[in-house]
Amino acid sequence: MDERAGRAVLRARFEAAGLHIAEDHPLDVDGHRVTADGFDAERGIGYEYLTREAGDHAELHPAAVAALEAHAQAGDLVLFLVDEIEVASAEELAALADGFLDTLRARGRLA
Amino acid sequence: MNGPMVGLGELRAASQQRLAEIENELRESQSLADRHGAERRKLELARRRALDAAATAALAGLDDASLARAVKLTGFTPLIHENPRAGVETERRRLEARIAEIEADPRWRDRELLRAPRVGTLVRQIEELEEFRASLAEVVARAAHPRLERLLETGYGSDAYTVGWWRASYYADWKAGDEILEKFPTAKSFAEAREEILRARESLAVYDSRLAALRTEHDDGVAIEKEREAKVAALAGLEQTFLGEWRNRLSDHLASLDPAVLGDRLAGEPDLELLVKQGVGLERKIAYLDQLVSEKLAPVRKALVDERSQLQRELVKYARPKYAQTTMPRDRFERRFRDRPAKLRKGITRVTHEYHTIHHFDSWDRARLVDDFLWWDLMTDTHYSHDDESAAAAAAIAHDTTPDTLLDAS
Repeated sequence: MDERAGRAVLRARFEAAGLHIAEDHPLDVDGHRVTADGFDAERGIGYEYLTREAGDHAELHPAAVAALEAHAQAGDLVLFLVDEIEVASAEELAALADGFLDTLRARGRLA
Repeated sequence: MNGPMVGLGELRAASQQRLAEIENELRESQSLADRHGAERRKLELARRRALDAAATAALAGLDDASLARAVKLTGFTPLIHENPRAGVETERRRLEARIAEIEADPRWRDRELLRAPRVGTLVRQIEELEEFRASLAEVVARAAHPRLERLLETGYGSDAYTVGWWRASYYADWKAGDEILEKFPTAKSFAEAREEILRARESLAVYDSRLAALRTEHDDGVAIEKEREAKVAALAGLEQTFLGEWRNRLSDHLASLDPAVLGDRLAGEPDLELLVKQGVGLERKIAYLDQLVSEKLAPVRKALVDERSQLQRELVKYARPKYAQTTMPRDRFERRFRDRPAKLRKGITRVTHEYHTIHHFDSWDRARLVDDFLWWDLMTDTHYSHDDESAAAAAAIAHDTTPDTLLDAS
């Protein structure tokens, strides 16, 4: 799935869960500039669909990912990270996103 | 210009008719050329068979008397100098030594004990291991999943698993783990299923390694049995094998020999002489037929193709208004559309006739194995009334060529 199609699926699932998504949202993560594909600034929850086409792997270099993971662990800023090689279809991507959103609910981050 | 003239209408009609004739003649001559390839292969085979039969008749065996007779008849001296009997004895000793070596080998000596169907020890061991292996292979097959290797490598289901819950792969792993776990109903967790899968894999590797060793041992034994069988068969047919090889060499010798050399030698051996005549005659027959097709038929075909092109060009030209008044002197017309075609037709007929005459010849007993023997005369039963033709034919045949005067199609 290309960047556009992947982002569309994720946005639909996140918005269905009640999140208010702004696309291409800039973030400063401990000094690392990251542009989230979708982000709800109020809840600190978003997603990043990593594709070669968009050059995401260059932007999300190991240090930036480590910083993002530290925040996710702390719970103040959580980006759902999906590599395009992980998914073969829109249905599969939607199911993975739903799993993530369920986890957020279980952790009390979503109603 | 004086004399009667032929008008455009008659010229065009004659050209059209001639084109149709040319197409027929090209088809006919092509058919002969096509058949020649197949006929040639048959003749080569017949020649080889005749020479092989001659070699068999000349060399009855490898005993001293047979060798001496063969040398006397054919002049093939390697039958004396290379001592065929010594070759047989050397090979016999080599085969006997190897057979003795094999028969002392435990792999052959204990063949029944080791490899008898169902009861041989090796056979039993292999069957038992295959049975054990089957249940383990079933566990491994049951666990098959596109994500299994990743789950094992990342330690999914154990404390070693560190993939964050914010990653999509965490959920893909979870789904795959559940799917695999469903196939192991007695396992309470993926960790238990993983232990069962890993144990089965390790045991399977051990069994497979042992099975491979047993199968190699079994196959080596089978191979050595087969080798012994082959050596025993070779020993039994040793005389015939060597005799066959020497006959092949003698056949090659006969094929390369000047037939005149054999003439006197074979005088008292009419059957053998006939076979040699057949072999030599077939070689000449092939050469004559090749020459007829390549040197006599091909030029006629080229003349026909050229004439066809010219006629086609002329017909296009005659269709233009500026040539509406074209005429041709009657005598030239006759030469062009009657005389020349008749000569070409005669050439094809002649080549075809001679091809079939030579091809059907099989009166080998009428040949003589002497210098300058005129095979062409014999095969075509040619009698010349014209002195020049006769001289040309004799000279050509003496040089192994087909006389041009016989086949001139121009």
